Amino acid sequence: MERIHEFRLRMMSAPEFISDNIFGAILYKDSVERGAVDVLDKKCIRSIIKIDEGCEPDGTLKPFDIDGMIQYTLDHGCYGTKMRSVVKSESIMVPIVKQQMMYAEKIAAAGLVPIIEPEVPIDHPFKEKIESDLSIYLESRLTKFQGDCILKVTPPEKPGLYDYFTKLKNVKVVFLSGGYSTKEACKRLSRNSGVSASFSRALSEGLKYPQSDKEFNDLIDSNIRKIVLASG
Amino acid sequence: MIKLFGQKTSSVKQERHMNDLKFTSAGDFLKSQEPVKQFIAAMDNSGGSAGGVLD
Repeated sequence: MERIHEFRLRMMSAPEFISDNIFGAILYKDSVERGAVDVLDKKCIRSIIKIDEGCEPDGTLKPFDIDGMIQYTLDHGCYGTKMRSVVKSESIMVPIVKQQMMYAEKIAAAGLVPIIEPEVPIDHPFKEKIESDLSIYLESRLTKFQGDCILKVTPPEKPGLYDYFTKLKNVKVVFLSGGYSTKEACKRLSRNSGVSASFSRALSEGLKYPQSDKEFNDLIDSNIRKIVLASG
Repeated sequence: MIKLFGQKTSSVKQERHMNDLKFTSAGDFLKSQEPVKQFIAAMDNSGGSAGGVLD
């Protein structure tokens, strides 16, 4: 864990990892425990905590202490939370969104901004159909949502699928990279207006622990610039 | 030059409030109808999906 924490700190220390480019960063609780919030605060970048404990085999969230994690997020001065579910089939989509929204309402009521992430796997054979159904159901739920939230979704097969949500005043749409290369993730992002990124794999593409600081910084700075260029 | 914040976790929220102008506007990111170039860095993966980053 020491090495991966050091790796993340190197990413945060890169010249282009600044608030002009990075609105916020999603952290493991372990990173929070190791002082990452202070590092980000110094750069005026908001901290967001991954609060879930992973998924059940069907893609729904495993039980976790939502009240305790809300309090933990507040105690550490963080901006919001993230929960990731995996929409593995059409039949599990509604239970997943209901579960995410139930938690998101509690999080927003505490004054935090929840990131709800119902991820559709990029290689799912029925990806486009599930995405279409997901957007329709999310519309019925998010239209009534009280508070601000961030909707993190897989870059859709149909550009503009999430346009409706980009017009809502309390919802921000961001795309995950989900295994797409930086190039492919950015290409898909650029086809959708009003959407930003929340990339992990595409942000860290090419980075290796043994690289010199110059190699490491040049690579992540290049990735950051590509993502910024494709955003919006 | 970015001004450093206080280090004590217990005072982070208060410090952040006092220095709020140093942060970019959350409203601009969440609610702007104009293109927003900022993004969210997801640093909550183990490194595996990035292809053996610790090798």
